[in-house]
Amino acid sequence: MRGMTPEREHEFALLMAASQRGDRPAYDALLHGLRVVATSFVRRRLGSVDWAEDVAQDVLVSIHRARHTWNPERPFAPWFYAILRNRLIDALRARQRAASVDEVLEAETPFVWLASPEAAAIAGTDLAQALRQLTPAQRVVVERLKLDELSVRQVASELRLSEANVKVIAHRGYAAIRRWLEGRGYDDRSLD
Amino acid sequence: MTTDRLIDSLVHDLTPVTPVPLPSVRAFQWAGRAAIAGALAVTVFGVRDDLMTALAATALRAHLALLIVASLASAAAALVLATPGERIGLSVRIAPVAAAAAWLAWLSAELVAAAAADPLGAWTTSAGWACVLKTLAASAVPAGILAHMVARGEPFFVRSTMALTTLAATALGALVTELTCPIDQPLHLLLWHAAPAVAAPIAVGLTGASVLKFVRGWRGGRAGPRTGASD
Repeated sequence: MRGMTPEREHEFALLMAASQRGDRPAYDALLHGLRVVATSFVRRRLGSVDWAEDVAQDVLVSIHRARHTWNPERPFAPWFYAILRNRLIDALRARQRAASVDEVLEAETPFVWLASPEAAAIAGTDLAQALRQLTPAQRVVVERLKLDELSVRQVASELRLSEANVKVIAHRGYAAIRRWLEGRGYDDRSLD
Repeated sequence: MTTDRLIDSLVHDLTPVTPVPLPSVRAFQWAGRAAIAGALAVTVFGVRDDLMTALAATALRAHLALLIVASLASAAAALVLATPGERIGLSVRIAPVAAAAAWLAWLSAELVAAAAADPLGAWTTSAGWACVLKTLAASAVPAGILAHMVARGEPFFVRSTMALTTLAATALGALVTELTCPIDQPLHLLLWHAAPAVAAPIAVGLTGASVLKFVRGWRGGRAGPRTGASD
């Protein structure tokens, strides 16, 4: 059980108060402690989802930005869990919204077979050519997502686009690559 | 970025912060500043000549009381909603809307009574764009102050929070207009005083996240919008 016992809450409150005064070791201990609580909270509710750590990261960033909104006169746990719950809700909603798009992306992306080194070697040249057919925006987004393996959020942040926009651009890019590759004899089996 | 690296980065960026006061304290702080802004607006626009006579009637006193309650309750609710971990009871959300609804209901009842007494005259009124401008102008400073205070927090219910922030200000703006406009016709009050005071919060509520992002950008602080679309 990695939840927040009263003793742990008291410990976190002391660390947070010290963090608000600029105490870095206290802040480091606080964030490491809260990371465990956050991932445990997500996994208890949703099972072993692979994005529990993403939610924990969102929570830590939110805590950092909102650290001045915790008043030491108030208990720590309600403040922390309010942030945690809301970041989890945001994550669930974002995943719901993205689910259909992600399914399409997964189905459409020709990069799946890059996981196979042999296939990648054979198709690498064509893929590089296919990438060159994309618009500059599509090329950058696709390369960042699939070659650099950044998350949609990271790409959105880097390019100063909304996450939805990144997904749309990626979707169009994948479709363009697929069309181009299909025009050169690749079929669904070779693409998947 | 791995979580360990993220933590290292956040720890590296740590600066001392001053905890925000409790929402109740901030609500009082806002009320004080808003009262000053309202008084200045009344002075600039000019008090209606018959104010003392009008205040002798129940209607204006009721309007003012309901507007004050709506304004204060909205401000308090917005600040509570902007503070993580604060208890968001039903009353927090209901009180401001109830006060504003009571004001509208009162005005509607006055209109019905006026229509019963004078069926034609009650439905006639001249354009009151000056009143709309007064309401919005008188709301601007209190809205800016409250939005600044809200943006310092971490509102999760962004639409509600921004709508309540605006309602707090427009209720005050409507109060200023009632103190400066000599027209007591219920239809005039509904169309030219109440409608903008209600429409503005609805419009801002619909675009809550964008407004909050704008305010935060204007404050020049916190990068990136908080998603917070939990409305």
